[in-house]
Amino acid sequence: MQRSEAELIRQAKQGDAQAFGHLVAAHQHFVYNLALRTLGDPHEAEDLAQDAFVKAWLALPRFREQARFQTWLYRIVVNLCYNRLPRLRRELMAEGAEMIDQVPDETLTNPARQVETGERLAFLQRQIEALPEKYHLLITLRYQNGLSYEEMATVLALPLGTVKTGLFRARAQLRDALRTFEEDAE
Amino acid sequence: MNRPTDAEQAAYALVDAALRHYPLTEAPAGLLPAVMARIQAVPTVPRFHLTWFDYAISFFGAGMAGCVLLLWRLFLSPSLTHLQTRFLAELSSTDLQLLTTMFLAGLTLTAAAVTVMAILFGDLRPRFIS
Repeated sequence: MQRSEAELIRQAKQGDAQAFGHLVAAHQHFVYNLALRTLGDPHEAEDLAQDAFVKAWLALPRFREQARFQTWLYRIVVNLCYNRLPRLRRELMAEGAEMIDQVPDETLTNPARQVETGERLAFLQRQIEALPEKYHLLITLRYQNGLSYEEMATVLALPLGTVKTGLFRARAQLRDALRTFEEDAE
Repeated sequence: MNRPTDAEQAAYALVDAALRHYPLTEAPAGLLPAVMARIQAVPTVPRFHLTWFDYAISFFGAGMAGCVLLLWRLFLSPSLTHLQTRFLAELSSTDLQLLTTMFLAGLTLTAAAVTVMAILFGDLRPRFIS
């Protein structure tokens, strides 16, 4: 019988390791990828993902269900990333929030206008790989893990403006690279 | 805020598409078993908690003590006062100091015992996140 996540959390909080195993199975993909994108090393990422789940298991009795489990879990992952890369949080904080008014809303982009040429997408994906770790962390939380800006600010323990600015800069960097690529192609 | 031009919107649309479709890597097959092995190895510490029975027995005990004191006060208070007067009269100031010291020592020992119980049977899981 399929149990809901809330039910699994309740059972895991009471010490049911099997229920916790289901939660690990459901979230391991995103937890591992978040760690991998941030640390850049598969072995370190696996090690960090393991640590994150063990810490989650130990802290689960104190998990208050006002927050989403996913957000709470990612916060543990991000804290472990901050521990391993102490400069990461400093670099994110250094993003500031001065560009908050210039952030183009993702909803402004019209999917109908997307000219999804495989070549340009492939180029952009190579550029994404070359982005700094701080941007990997931001874009993974936003685009792959589907967090809102507010949830990201909570997970990263950063001001909302800093999160938006960081994302803006990551996207702007990719847009500039795309422009250069297109100019060279012409 | 300046609205982006059409060309800029198209560029951002492509960037967003690339970000959304950036492929995720499969989690290693050994991750789940490793996590399960590690959590099974975590020593289980008996957690200190009060059940309804603990509350019931505490209320019963406190109620009984209250009844005894009330009865004592209602029916035996003259004798008590007499005994107290005699007892205090026989105590010197040194004895009173000794009694005070013993009382404070008793309180300290009780507090220490409660602390040790909390450490032994309390929740020892690390409080690193709320």
